[in-house]
Amino acid sequence: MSDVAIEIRDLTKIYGDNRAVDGLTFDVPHGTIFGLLGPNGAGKTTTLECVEGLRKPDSGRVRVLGIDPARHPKKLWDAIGVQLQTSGLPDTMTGREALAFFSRYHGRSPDYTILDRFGLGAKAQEQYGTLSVGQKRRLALAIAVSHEPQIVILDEPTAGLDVESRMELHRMMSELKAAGTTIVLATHDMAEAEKLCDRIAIIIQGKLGVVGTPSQITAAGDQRTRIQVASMNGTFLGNAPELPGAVLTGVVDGYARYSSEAPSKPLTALIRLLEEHNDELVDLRVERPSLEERFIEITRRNK
Amino acid sequence: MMNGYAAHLSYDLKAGVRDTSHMLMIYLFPIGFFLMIGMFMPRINPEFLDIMAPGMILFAIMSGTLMTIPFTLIASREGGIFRSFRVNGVPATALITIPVIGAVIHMAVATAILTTGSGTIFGALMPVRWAPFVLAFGLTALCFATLAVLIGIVAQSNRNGTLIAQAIYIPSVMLGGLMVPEALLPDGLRAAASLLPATHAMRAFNTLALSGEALTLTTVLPLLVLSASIIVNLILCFALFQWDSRPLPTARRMIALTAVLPFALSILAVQVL
Repeated sequence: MSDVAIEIRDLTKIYGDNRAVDGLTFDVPHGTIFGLLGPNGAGKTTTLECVEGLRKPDSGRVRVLGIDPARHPKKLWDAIGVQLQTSGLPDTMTGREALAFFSRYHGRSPDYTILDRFGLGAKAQEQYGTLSVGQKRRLALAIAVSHEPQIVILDEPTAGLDVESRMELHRMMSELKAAGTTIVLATHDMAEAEKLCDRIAIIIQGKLGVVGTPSQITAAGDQRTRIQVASMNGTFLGNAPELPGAVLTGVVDGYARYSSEAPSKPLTALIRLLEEHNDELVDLRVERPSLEERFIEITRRNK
Repeated sequence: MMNGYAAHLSYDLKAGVRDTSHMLMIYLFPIGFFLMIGMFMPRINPEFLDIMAPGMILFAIMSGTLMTIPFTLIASREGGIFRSFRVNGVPATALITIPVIGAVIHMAVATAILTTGSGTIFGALMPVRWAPFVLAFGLTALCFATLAVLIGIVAQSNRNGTLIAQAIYIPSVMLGGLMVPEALLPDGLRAAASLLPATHAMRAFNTLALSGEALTLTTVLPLLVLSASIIVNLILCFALFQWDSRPLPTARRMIALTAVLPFALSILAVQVL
């Protein structure tokens, strides 16, 4: 079996005058969580819809586990699980009925224990319309994986969820990955992508901005480290002192902010300065550029 | 093992019972109307008892199909339910045929209640031939159910669906022979009434089932028209069905107007016969 679960080559999809996806090329390796990032209207959902067999590409090649989604959608839908961005179930359908309904269409007997695994055992007999947003998302994920697909595609599964529900879904995704399932995750949440994804593709205006591991992507951008410091006696307030190897960027909310490409030198100087002024450290933050900052940088550059 | 289609049909029947607005339109509204109208209409017009059973059955079929099916389909399409179904291998065939089968089953129950009630409570005219009665019921229910699915597919929104359904429902009640026998309508209105499925359904019930007229091309024509309508409606449903939550382009929606063709042709057929 190939190491590639999903292969996309020169994928193009055009709506009228709009090239929603424009020559996109990337691979999704087996057994990984692959993040698809991009601003609104970047072409993430259209790309996923081509992968899911919901739209036919105008040109290019898509293969999912070797299957051409446009030619063999039924075969594809038995091999993948999908949670759509705008998907729903009839309000009067219970979780248990939904599981049975879709399992039967996949030619399987329903395994109701999956509802317990997704924390929905007590809600199994309740109608979809009465469930909370978090419970609806968990049910959608349970249905997406109920036929044991090799690939699960999740389009913004945590959008609009509270922190607890989001953490719960993250745990479930990690469990699926540990079980060998390949996950494609489209998200706007950079922290989520950085935490969960093995590889990330950033799509801008239908084109591939960058692809790689979260570390590779953040490392490829602005390398300056941010240093923020606050002290007891205000050594760094007012006319904040210069630090060797760092540039003072401002004093905000009691913190002096510096930017440095090599932070060890200014940090050593900072500690020495505190000792010289008989001052005490209240807070010190040393931050590398995040995926979110790198994302903004790439988005701005490509616009 | 129960397959997907059977599980889907089973759910559809249960959903019809769970949805209070559906229950209202399928059972409570037609039965309530039947009881109310049965109390005063025969006193005003004793001949009403001759058309009471088919009239009330047709009223129930129209309420239980035109006033329920389109809205479930429109809401499912707009809410992304169709797309969820699609990525799990639910075929378009199921989404088109299951509401039709479900409606016919519910309508059969309502018809049994109304037919029995018409005879026992109000002494209305009963069918003299039951086989044509069942056939007329089956074709009428299928005709309106497929028409309702077609409305659900082509309507741009719930409001638009309501307008289209009402544009068939209200003239059918007034001109279709449910309240006033078709023979009493002015000539111009009789021609217009022939464009309505309800008129042909009433003719089918009255001539073959209630009056027991002999089988001729003229008496069988309403059944043929209803059959042709079912076929045309189904062809249009399959041709125009779309999974997307967006409404159909106007040019494609207009194709649905060909659903009126079997009824228009029936006017010519009557003149020839």
